[in-house]
Amino acid sequence: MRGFGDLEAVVMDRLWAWQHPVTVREVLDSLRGEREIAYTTVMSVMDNLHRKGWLRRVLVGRAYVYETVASREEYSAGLMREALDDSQDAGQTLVHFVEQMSSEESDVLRRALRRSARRRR
Amino acid sequence: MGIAGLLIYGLALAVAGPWLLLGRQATRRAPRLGVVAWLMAAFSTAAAATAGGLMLAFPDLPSHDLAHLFVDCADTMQAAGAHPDDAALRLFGLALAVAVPARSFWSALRGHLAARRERRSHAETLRLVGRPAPDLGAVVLEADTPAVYCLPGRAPKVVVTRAALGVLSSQELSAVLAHERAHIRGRHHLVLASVRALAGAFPFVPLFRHAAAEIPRLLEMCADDSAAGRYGRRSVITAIRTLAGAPAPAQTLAAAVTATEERLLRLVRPTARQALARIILAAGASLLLAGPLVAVAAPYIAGTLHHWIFCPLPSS
Repeated sequence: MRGFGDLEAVVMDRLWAWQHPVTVREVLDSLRGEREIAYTTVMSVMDNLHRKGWLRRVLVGRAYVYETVASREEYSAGLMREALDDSQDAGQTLVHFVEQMSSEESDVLRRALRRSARRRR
Repeated sequence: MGIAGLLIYGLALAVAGPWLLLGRQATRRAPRLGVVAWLMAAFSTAAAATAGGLMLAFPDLPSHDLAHLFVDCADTMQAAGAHPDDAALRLFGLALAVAVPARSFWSALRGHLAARRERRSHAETLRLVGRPAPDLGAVVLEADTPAVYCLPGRAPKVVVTRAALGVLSSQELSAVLAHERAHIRGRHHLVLASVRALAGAFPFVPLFRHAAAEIPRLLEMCADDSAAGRYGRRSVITAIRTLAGAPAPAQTLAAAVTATEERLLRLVRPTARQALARIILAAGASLLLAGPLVAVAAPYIAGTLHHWIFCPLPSS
């Protein structure tokens, strides 16, 4: 469960969990169950998320209705691609734990692993 | 002569240096010292080029005049302290002395700013997309490819995908997380950034190019050692094989060893004689650090000794 510190993250959690467009009021009511929070706070957080490109919004009557731009999985896939492809570049993420090995293990390695397994028995 | 010695030293190291360090067993046995040795070699080359350039540009620096104190045998001094008076040579020296640090610094700065920008953007997305897992000390990414990576910087994070959590045993997971944390603790991203800066600034220098390729491999081994120290080599080995996508056995006799295989081989075979490797590398790194100084000082020391023996100071 996410801590209270990151309201933007909490709001995104909700939106991704519900998977349908919502108003500020609906998000506020959901959060009010857990903490003291003002309408204006939630409104400015969702406005920020919209400004940063995480949410789309449509004016319905006098209130905005917000929905996510992409799913959590889509963003996750994007992050993964960035992390795995970037080993050669600015080094922003370190080489991920291991590169995908080639489809064949070398003979040297196989022998070494076999020997090591025998020793352990 | 000191200038020539310095520049020759720098050039030799730049070209032949990789041959000294590349793939040596010593670096595999003591990877941290291996990284230091590579870094010292790179630094030494750059320092030699800069210092050599300075000496070409400003031949009347005190170190040269020191030799004049002992002037008696002109021919000896001719050999040990010849001044380049040629203006073109001086200009070249100045250009060298300015270009090497300037280009290195510029490359490092650009790289740092770009890296920081990318890291920040990645971290910002991760903040919202990832799920914190405080019990693991990591962030979980809802992706179905097993992967683990770390995001270094001011607020470093270790990232594990949901799929990786599914395929790794708890021991393996601990080992992988320890490996990533070793990268963070050791500030390896800074080491990588500096060597990439040099290689980016002077791509024609073989030493820098090879250093930029070798150092990442050695750093992975450093992190492997750290993880193996806490959770055992077996956990690290199986974790690597699991995450690399344990391949089917080869039908052919493949001789080439990839970086991943090298890591595995190293962990599988217990390494002996680590102490010797450490001594060799530490000595080598110290020599490399002192190299430019030695190259400069040697002719003067030799000339001075020569004077004392053959041409005593005139009594005044």
